[in-house]
Amino acid sequence: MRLDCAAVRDLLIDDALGQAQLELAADARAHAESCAACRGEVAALLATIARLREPASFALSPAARSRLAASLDAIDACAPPRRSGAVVRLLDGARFRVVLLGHQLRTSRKWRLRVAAALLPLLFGIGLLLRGRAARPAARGAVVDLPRDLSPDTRSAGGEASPPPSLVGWQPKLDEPKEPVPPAPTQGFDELDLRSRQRVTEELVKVNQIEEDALARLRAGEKRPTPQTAPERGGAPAEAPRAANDRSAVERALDWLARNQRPDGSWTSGSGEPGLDTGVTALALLALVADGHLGSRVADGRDAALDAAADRAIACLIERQDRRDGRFRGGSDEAAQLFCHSVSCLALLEAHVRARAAGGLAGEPAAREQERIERALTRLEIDLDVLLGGGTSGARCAGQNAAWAALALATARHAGVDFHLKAGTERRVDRVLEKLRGDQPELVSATARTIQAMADRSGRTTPPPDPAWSAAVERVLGHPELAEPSLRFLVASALCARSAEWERFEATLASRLLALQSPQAGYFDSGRVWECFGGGVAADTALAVLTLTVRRRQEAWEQARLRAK
Amino acid sequence: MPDDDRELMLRARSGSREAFDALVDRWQVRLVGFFFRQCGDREFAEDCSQEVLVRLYGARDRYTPYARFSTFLFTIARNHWIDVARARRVRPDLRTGRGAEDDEGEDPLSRLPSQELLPPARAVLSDDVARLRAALLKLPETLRDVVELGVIQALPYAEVSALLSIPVGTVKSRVHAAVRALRMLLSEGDER
Repeated sequence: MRLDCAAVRDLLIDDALGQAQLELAADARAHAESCAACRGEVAALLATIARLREPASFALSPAARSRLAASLDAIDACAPPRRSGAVVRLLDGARFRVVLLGHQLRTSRKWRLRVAAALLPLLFGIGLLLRGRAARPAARGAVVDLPRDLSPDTRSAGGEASPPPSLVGWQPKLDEPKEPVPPAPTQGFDELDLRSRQRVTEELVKVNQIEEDALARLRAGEKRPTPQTAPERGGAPAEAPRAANDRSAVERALDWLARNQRPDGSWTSGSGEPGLDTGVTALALLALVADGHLGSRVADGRDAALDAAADRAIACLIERQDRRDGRFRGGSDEAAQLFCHSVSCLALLEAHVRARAAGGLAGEPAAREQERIERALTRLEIDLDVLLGGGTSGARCAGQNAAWAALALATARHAGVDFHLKAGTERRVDRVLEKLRGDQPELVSATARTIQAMADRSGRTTPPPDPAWSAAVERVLGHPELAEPSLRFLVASALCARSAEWERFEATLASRLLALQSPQAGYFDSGRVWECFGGGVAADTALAVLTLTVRRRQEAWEQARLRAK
Repeated sequence: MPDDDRELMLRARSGSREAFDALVDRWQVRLVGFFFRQCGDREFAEDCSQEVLVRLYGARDRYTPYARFSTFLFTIARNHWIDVARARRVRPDLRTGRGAEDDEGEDPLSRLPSQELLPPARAVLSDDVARLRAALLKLPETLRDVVELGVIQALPYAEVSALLSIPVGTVKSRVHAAVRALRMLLSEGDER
């Protein structure tokens, strides 16, 4: 490799600090030996570093050490006796549960109901005991056993979640005789006040709707699509194929999302990976924005409930952003954190640009929101640099993260709004997609095509042939119901830019995808576990909406982008 | 530094005072150096280092070996200096510094810190240490931070990046600019 003198000097500084790549450093040293100008300069720079690193001769004053020892002794004297590791873990676990319960009580009406329902009979029983009457067992409260994807917020403050009760994975055992089910205890329910009972009833109706829906599909001989069962159906949808880009399907899916939004504006990751609520919320917001629901600031009067859902989702994501480092909290490890952060960046970015273009956001609020997004994007760039620098080499789900992070940065780059990204953003995006391709090549390849289509709207440039891209298209076109929802969305986004292919593709994709939609409730459940981060019905539904509205989303985005310019 | 700093800290977390004393032996002088380069007052630097070590001891139960021990320690040290500086109004915004892109293409020497805001150096310094400190003080805040953490304390670029909340590329470019500027400033000082 040919290096210029300035690059050689920088590389040798990195090398002296132990931060350079070995091959590059060897090239730089070879250059420095042959170049007289570099030789002298490099020697001076290295001498400067050596001088800076010389251990300073700070002999501590004799009193310093004794003062410190006295302070530490004082801390030890005041500290309670230390406990063994097992006891510490036990107490930590108990403390965590108490904090979690407190958090749930503060944030979730459902949890307040549950606790009230559990406590009321207990208090009643204690009252009876105290009165000297015959004791009777405290009745169980009317605890609503919500399905996995409708369970109340079980998130801890740190974004981790305990696995919620399952319904999505539930299959009735039709061949086994069922024992008569004893009537559910209702005493606790009866003791609730009228408003609480109404709320519980509403929840039960919601749950029943989904259960009945699942049963109706089973009675009709339709099984939940799984990688094993769907090809057996010959890919044929269980119900009559609906029109491609079916508006009513999209509306019903968004209605389901709005109905199942939690009071704090988030959605649960349900049967997906626990703790991904932030990422799922961002996906749901993307779906709402894709269909033009930008919140009350740009309300078009089409559907106030969906605008309100978008408002709550935006507020929820903003609330979850760490003011200091710009990161959106969520995910139980670094990989899941990056996923949540990337998708949140993308969702807020799209909502911001489109709201500005529609005239619903201007002046100081727009500047404040832009600054918030910029801070998040800077954090994203830092995280990607760490990923590229090998800080998390072999990281879990690197391909999925590369895809969403690259999409967020490229979208910011092409937003028509100056987001003050680093000069090397395009290069960084390319490197991310190139370096992390091995993990999920099809997904990464589809992302690269989507980004390319975003930059080249006219479609003049023909991308080089790519086997991973061909495999992705084949997989999504052949069996869209079996493809990972994010891959489906990204392939559709890339193909949408090439109209001839897209028209052929759209009808197939839409009709097969609509077969996954619940006819009554409106949600989509592919029954697929993602290759990374799990799925969940809310995420499936959001990504299905994004796939079905891909053309509309791109057209709206292009208009917003041009107007912003 | 050897990785067993983390091991010592984990042992300290389990209640071993000896392990913590070993960490103090390793790091106290470097901490004094860190604070001395900021304030130029040895006694004050000793006080600050003591405060940091006491904080570290108090926070040992919360320590998790997520990053290098040095990163953990210098995060506490830096936060302490920010608190001190805020109280003294020496460095109004150390945590965020300038924006990540601000320094690119800009002459680093054009943003010299205001000398009159710095506390007087009360200790008698050796010539070399004094020249080094004078040169460091002439650097703008953003460059001085990366020199302190990336060059003097030898933290990896990725950890400096995380600690200062700036991209790794920016850490690199700041280190390069700072070393070049220091080479010039020190050679000027040596010629006088």
